[in-house]
Amino acid sequence: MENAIHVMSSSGMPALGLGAGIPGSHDNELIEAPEEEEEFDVLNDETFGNCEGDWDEEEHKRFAELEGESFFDLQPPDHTKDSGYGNAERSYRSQEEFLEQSISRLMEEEEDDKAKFFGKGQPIPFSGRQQQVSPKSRNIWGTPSHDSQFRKPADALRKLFDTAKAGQRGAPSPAPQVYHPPMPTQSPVGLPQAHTLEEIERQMMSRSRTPQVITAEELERQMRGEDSPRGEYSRTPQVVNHHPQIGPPPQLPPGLLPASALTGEMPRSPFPPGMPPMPLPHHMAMHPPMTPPPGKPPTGMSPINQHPMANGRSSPINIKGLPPGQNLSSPMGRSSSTPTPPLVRGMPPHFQSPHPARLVSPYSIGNSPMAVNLASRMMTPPPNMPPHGHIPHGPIPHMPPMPNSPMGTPPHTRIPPPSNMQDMSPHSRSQQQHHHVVDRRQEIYSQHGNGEASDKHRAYRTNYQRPPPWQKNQPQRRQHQHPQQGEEVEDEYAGLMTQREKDWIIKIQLLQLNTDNPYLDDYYYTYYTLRKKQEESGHTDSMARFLIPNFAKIESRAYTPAQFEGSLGRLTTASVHNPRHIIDVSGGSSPSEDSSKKNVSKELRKFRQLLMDIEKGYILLLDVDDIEKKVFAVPEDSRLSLFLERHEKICMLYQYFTSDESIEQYMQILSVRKGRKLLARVLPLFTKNQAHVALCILFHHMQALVRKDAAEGGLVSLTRPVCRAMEGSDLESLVRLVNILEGEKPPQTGSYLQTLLKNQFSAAVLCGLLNQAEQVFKDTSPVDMDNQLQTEWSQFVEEFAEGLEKMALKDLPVATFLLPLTEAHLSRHLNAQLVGKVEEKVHRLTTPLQTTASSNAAS
Amino acid sequence: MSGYLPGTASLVEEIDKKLLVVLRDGRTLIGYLRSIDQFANLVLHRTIERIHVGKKYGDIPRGIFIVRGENVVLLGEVDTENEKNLPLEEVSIDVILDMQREMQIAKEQEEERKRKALQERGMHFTEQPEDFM
Repeated sequence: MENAIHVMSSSGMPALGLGAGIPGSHDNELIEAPEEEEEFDVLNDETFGNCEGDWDEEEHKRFAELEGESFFDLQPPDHTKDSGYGNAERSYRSQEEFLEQSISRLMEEEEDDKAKFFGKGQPIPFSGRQQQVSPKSRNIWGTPSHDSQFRKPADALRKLFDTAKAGQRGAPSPAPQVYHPPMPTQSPVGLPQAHTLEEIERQMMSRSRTPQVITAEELERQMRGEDSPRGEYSRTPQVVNHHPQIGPPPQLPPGLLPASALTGEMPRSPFPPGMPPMPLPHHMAMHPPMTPPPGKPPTGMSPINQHPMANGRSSPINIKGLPPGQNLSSPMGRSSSTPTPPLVRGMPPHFQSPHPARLVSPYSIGNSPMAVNLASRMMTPPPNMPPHGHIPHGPIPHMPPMPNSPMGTPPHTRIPPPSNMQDMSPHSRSQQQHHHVVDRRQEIYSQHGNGEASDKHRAYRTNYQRPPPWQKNQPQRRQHQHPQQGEEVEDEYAGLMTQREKDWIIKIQLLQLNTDNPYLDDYYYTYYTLRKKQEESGHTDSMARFLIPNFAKIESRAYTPAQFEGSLGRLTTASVHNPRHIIDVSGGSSPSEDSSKKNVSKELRKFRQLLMDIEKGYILLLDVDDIEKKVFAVPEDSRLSLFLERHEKICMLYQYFTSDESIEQYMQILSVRKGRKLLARVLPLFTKNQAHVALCILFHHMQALVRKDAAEGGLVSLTRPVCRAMEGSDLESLVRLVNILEGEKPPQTGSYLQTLLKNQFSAAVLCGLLNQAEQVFKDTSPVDMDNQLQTEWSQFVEEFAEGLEKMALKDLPVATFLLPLTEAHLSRHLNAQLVGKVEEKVHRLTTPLQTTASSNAAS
Repeated sequence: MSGYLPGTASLVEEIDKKLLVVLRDGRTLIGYLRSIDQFANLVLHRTIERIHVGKKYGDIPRGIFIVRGENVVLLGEVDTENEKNLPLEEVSIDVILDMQREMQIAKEQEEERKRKALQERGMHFTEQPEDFM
């Protein structure tokens, strides 16, 4: 000790500068030192030139050993913390350490001032050991200015550690160990550095163990230079760390305020910067304190505190080391660790104002002259403060002197806010939540005492007997506050997910909805919205279509991962878009059927094959449809290719229906509903010639179809397309069609008509024929028409009429399709008498009932 | 359907609402949804676990839950007005736990009976229940 003291007295710039303080080896060190000591502080080198020589490696190691011993001696008292997770803590804290150091470098200058401030006559502000060492040494045995200057970097670091650490060090008085008997071998001159090293090392190591929490009171005491009752508070901060909901037990008046928590809270509520720091600490208390600011307590304004973001939601390691202002700008500060760091960084400059208010401890604000400063600073909201940021509380209302526990704050100071709250809209209320937060919580605390807090620590099983903590408060509220309290208790947590986070989620979800092919991915929804839009806009514009954008990109679907030639096996790199191909699942052939069931299966197979064929046809049709939709999305020049493609597809469809093989299958196809539908949809696509041929084929099969269809009547779906297809036909085609209808066999006049007329479809077709014929006759002068055709046609008409006459009215199907010209046509060709006979029936066949459906058909 | 997410649903609208969440293991949680993420992981606040047995139920206060999204079967908003007027009878936690235990025992016995019966008939059957209820 004596030696140490002696050494201290003679320490100072000269000792360092000359390097004379260290025995012999030091000279060597001087030469060697620079290369070895990269890890030393850069500023150190700049400011002090050779002083890195002071960091004698050997001695350093020795000190480390000693340090370690002394350090470990302290362990026993800290059993609770050292139960094995201490190692993890250490490594975890070392990371913090590095960050803190880097930050400390940023803040060096500022710190130095503060260090000086601290240095002046502060015996033991807090965090016992370290603090005890340095100030004492400085104050007593060295000129403060010299010392602080000399130790600038070291002090800076130390200050960092000191202020950062809460009194976690706990009971054991560090003093004895701190002044571990200095190495007898050390020269006196060298000792000051030794101590410095020692201290720093100790701090480093101890720093790595303690949670970085500083109580607000300690901060305040620092500023005021009072003695702090270390013993009281040394243990409590740890306890507080684990409070999930309620917050620190009441006996922790400073409420374990990580100043960082304060800061974390501030950005969260962009509004009333006037939000008194008073309530803040308690609110902070709700969130387990995180790494405290590397202590710039004086003004408490260190922006560094941002990152700790004491919200208990983010990992304490999550110190982003952001430059001061930025973390503030993180969305509500809360999300610093959550969604994405980029989000954190990119915030709008909203929350600049809380900047000053950041590290304010209630006490400091309350008592120190800084209070006014802070207050005034807090009062100036940033220009772009959100509109809701009206300050209900007025300027710093809640800076009552805090000699005692904030828990015990008289309720009267708490009431004004709530009453204010009541006036506000729920929206603003939720945003002002943190007013309530603190208020409410304080009331809760004050009214419920300590017992509840400790309960929260226990497993919830013990809570079985109690109602959930948030319910407990209800009965004790004053009546008028009762409903409000309940909501507010929820509202306290209401803004946990900030709008930015929500937007982030929404963005991801929208991204997932992006599709190149809405018709493929979400067919029904697509059509639904289209239809809705159409209805909205009135039936004016034609149905808008979703463009199918960027079709060219679809090609990449067939992406096969790169495969390597000449390699053993298949080497592929798996990625998200191209996962490993583990199992080859191809449409395997079904196992052969049991022979006993062969016939049945054969039929089934045939049927399935038929269905498959129809499907193929359908796919062609759908492709045509898609092309039609694609056309709009594609610039003019490329459209041609699409048109060609479409044409090609249509031809294929034509082939589908008219080739020889398919003719054989024709009946089968048309016996399946889907086949009919296919034909119905395809007919309009055909050119006239194609349509004609298709009709011929259809008519060819008409008889058979009708016979088959007698039961089902499914052919009606074809009615309209067939009739439409017939439109525009000339007489010759019509005659041909009729001839086909009559069949090859020698026509029994009218007999074929019987069957045809019975079926709705065929009857409609016949009438359609007549309808079209009338159209033809109307349009062309008799001169142009072929006589023979006319004769044939007239014949047909007569047959038609006669056949119709023979049938009873009731047997005739009712028309669904309006064929206005048929009657006229009949009268053209037939004598009045015959016309009269069949008039009614024709009417029935050609004029649908006046229902909405038929009116649609008419239009 | 929300405006920004047409045609689908998003949990964003359910935030800060009191929700009833059914998990894959059959548990029923009721709590305030505080936060979500893109996997529909949920942060439930002031959660209670409600155990239903017959017409009775019991609540166990649980605090804060973080539920992995894949374990959620369904969730729905709780009608705060009507949640007082349930046709069910609330009982204390111990009682409901007892009831649940009894029910579980009864089920197991039934299963055991079935298994034995099958075994007598020469069938060995092991069922792998993946999700409960």
